[in-house]
Amino acid sequence: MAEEKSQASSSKMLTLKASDGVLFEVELNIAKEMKTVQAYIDDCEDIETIPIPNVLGKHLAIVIEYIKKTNEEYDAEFEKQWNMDDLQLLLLAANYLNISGLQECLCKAIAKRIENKSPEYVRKVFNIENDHSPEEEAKLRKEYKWAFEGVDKD
Amino acid sequence: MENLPVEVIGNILSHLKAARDVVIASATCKKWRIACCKHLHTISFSSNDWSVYRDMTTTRLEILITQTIFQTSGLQSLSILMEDVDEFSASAVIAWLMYTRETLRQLFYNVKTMPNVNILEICGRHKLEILDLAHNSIVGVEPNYQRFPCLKSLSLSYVSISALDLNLLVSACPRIEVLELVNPEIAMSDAQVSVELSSSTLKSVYVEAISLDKFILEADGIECLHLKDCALEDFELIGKGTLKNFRIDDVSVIHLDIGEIVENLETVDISNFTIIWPKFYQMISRSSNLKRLRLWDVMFDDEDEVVDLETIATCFPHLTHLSLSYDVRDGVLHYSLQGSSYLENVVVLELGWNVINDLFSQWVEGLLKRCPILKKLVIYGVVSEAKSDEECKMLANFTTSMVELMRRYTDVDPHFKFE
Repeated sequence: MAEEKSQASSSKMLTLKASDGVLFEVELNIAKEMKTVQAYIDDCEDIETIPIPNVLGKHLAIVIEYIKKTNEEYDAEFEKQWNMDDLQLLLLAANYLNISGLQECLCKAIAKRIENKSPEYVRKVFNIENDHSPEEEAKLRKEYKWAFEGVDKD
Repeated sequence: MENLPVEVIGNILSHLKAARDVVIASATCKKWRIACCKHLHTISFSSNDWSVYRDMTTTRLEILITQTIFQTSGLQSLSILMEDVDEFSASAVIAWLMYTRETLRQLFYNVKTMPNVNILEICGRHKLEILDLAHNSIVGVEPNYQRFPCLKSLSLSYVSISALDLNLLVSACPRIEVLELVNPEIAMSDAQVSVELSSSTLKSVYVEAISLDKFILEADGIECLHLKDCALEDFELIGKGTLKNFRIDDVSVIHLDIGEIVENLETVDISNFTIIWPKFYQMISRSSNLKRLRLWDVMFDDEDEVVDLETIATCFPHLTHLSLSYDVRDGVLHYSLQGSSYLENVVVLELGWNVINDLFSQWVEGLLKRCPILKKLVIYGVVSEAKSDEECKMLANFTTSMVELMRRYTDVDPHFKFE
């Protein structure tokens, strides 16, 4: 009985529409890995096309491929292909779509790239504007003097 | 990227983990600072992450750890692993544990505390899933009052604990699955040093550097058992035959009993051990599901005993990995290779020598013949630093015979590892 059910649900297809209009036909069990999509389906059972307004087609394609292929080996190699901008956009997508495995994989990858770096480097990489006032900044650096000792010149 | 939600940044910082990196990243802007204060769930102060810790005084370390932890909220995983620190003051450690009490799920702590802190008493118990302690003392376990309802993994290294308290501690963890004991200092009340542990949820037990008269482990669900560098008179596993993985490395034990039911054994790995073949054979001959067998640097109680392939082939038809390294002597070589049964499923063969001689290549050849679907052959050899002429010649001869052999077995991928 359980087998029939999973066969039926795995053969049902769903369409996901990315923010730039690109359409992706995916099997239901793949789409269900995206908890946001799952919630959508739970609310409106007969839906066939689900809009994904926050994610570009390019990134949705990568996310879908990840869900299909994820395993230890794949995950280890996965993050190496993307630059920092893509990693962040993928993380935003994974966050919106609520895919915990992908979120963890991407957070880990991003963290690896900012290990042992200065605040200036991290700001550059994430395009962060330093909104601390000079006094606040000085106070922080003084308070955490120990951490700022011997920061590498990256 | 101002779009990343603050919780996601908190998650990134948690993967960054190392306290110094977290502090530096959180200095980039207000949002990242908030992420560190409100959404950081994992932090680690480890001397392996940053060598500058080693140059700091203990007091300075205590201050910076306190300062950093106290800026967070909702911390779930705390690691304080400082190799070079002799001891942290009790007041500092108590402060760290009390502050994180409500939310802590994982604690890794390896520094002696002066005076000794009853960590079990103070740390958060209700959500704790992993407890990894080293160089501390555990006294006065009270299972009725101190329960660890979520604890899955318990690791105690160089911890001083009485046999009774160890027993009580394990029983205070109704969901425990993994237990690791490394070099514990077991205080005993009477002359016989014995430990008895009982848990129906334990799946994996690892014991290293323990010296006891008696060790009784009652575990109905155990799957992995690994003993290393132990001196035991009597070891008994009482269970329901669920054991899948059994490893012994450099253990001396007089009476070893892993139970009658061994049908679920998939991996047996014995190294640096003296085997009494008939007993050993009796123990594992019914493990017809065995997939991996490793007998490495083993000696036989009876000098004439040998591992014969016929027995291995007939007892373990599903064997895929076979690793053998023991003294192959002239008289026993032919006996070990006698018979004609094939090892139908072996795909990986690992063979090792301690002293290189001609017999070894004959043995390798004999084994290759019996493994029709072999894919990989790994030869492990010990090469002494000062090589005599004799040894050099032996090595050369061996290399030649290996090359000739591999020419005939082109499906096999050979590897060599020398030390």
